[in-house]
Amino acid sequence: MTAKKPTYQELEARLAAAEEIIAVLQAGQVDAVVGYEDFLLVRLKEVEEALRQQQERLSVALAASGGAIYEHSIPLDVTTYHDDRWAEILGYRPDDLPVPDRFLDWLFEQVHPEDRQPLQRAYTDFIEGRTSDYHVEIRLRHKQGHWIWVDGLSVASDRDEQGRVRRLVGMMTDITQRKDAEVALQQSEERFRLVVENSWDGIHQLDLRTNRYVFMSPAQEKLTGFPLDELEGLSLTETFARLHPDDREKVTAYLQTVISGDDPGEPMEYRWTVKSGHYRWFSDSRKLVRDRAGRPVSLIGVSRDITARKEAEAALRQLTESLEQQVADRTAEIREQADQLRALTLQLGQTEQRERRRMAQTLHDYVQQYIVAAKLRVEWIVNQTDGADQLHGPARQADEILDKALEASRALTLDLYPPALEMDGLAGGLSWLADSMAQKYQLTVSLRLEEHAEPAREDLRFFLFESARELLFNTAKHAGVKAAALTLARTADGRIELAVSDQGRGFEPDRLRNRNSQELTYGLFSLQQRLAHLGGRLEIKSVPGEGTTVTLTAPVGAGSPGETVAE
Amino acid sequence: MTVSERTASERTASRPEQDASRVTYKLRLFIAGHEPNSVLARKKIREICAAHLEDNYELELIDVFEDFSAAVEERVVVTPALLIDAPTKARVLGNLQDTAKVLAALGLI
Repeated sequence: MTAKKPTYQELEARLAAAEEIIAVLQAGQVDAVVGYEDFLLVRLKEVEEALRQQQERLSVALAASGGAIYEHSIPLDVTTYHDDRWAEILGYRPDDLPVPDRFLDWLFEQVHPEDRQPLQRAYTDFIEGRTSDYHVEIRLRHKQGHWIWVDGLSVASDRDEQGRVRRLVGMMTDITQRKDAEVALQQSEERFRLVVENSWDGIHQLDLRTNRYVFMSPAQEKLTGFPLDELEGLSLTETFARLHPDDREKVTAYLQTVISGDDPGEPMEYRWTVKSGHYRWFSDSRKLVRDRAGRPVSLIGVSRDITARKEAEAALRQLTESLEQQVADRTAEIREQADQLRALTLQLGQTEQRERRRMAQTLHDYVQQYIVAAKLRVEWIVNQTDGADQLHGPARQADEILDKALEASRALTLDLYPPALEMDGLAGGLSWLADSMAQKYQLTVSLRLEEHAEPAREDLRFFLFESARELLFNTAKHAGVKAAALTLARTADGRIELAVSDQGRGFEPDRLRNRNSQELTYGLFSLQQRLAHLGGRLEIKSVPGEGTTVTLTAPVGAGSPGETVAE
Repeated sequence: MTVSERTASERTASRPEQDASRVTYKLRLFIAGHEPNSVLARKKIREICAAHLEDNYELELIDVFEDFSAAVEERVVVTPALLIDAPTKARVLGNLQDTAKVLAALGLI
């Protein structure tokens, strides 16, 4: 090269040449650049290969990200570029995409109507240089007709002097799945919010790290009377202070159970002072929330006003108590009536005993004495006359009648009150009874009487004697046998036991048990009542065809029956 | 086949029977081996010559890989580059795909 100073024309020509070189370089029409004195030679192919490799690496990265690359000038020209993935996202083959001069219109038609305006605005702002990049999330119509969500991020690769974009490059990613998940999450959150806000139950969250309530649902206002802004931020200590003192221990235990990770089972119930200053009953269940490391973070709770239920429960309890009292009163009344009945029965027995004695006394002391006196007179007449005398016959007949009357009177006296019972005790009485049964009913009674079984009390002796007579009479009347056994003994615990048994017809004990006591014979009923009053027991064992055993047991030392009779 | 051989043969192929001094158009195309733009440019200039210059031209192909001294001498900075030596000196840079630009440089339009 010469050092000659170039002319203006030469400079202008060189500048034009330089500009032309730059133009073809920019247009990508150059293969090599030739150096000057050092013969420098650059092969663009190598640069392209390097670029291609770089592009390949980029493509792999893009494929991994699922993104697609696009690049175009503004306005669009032949250099508009979309990689294969770009078409694939929309369901097209690369060849299906429209030619550049129709491309933008086509693309705009694929945009969801709701997204068109914001997209247009963002695009214009970007192209005209008002924003540095262009980032949109829009819905595009897939070739198959459904909508897909895409994320597009473009940056300017060339701008003019005014900052307007001349060329841009960008990446588009299919975010349909993420968007669907977002929408699902949003809907789920919306549902949850609706539940929380419209629930009659109060929902709250206690932060365990600060021991303060960080969330209170609107229902809590109704439940507590406090406005939400006063409720949120309340500390556990503050809420604890409003608890009924009797419930504090219970609530503490419940919360400790939940925080330690155990299931407390049922919700806790407690009284809490609401804004008006009154206690209201609440049911409250808590659930532990942990962080990823498993540490307790907060307690989610649901509480409900159960005052009405508690009041109903209390009313029911009162009603139950009053009913129980009424039943107790009625039962006492019935027991009293039963006692009175027993006392009356006893009294009747005692009266009978007294009357029998009195009548026996009267028969012995008067009637029999009168008969004996009359007999002595009649016998004198018989002795003073002979068969010829007309008085002799009738006098003899009268004497025989008087003998019969005396005998009948004596028999009646014995029946009414056997002297043996009075003189020889119960054992004597029972022996006499056995003889009497043999005479009157041809019933042979075998006796087994323990000596020490004799009760000390006269009324008990008389009662047992009467019982034995009643039972033996039943045997004679119903059993259809000519033999019976009677035992008098002391049980191991000192009670007196009287048993009458036979091998006769017997009967179904259920028949006796199922009948009303009124249907029992008066004798047996009276026996039962008097025995019950004595604290004793009547036991009947009978099998049809195999005989009957009736056993009476009575305590010897039990309260004197006479004393319990109200007079 | 080497580039130089091809260049030589092509030079002869472009009307070897003619006297070089008799033709109106003298062209030199600087290329870089078989690089894409060079291939495009070579193909295009043959088409243009055949269509517009008939037998009235001489075309020399110079591969800078073989001989860059000519390129340096002619201050050819980039290839492909078409240098028109006659009838009027002119040069067209790039792959020559713009036919009108080449014809204008040749003074045909």
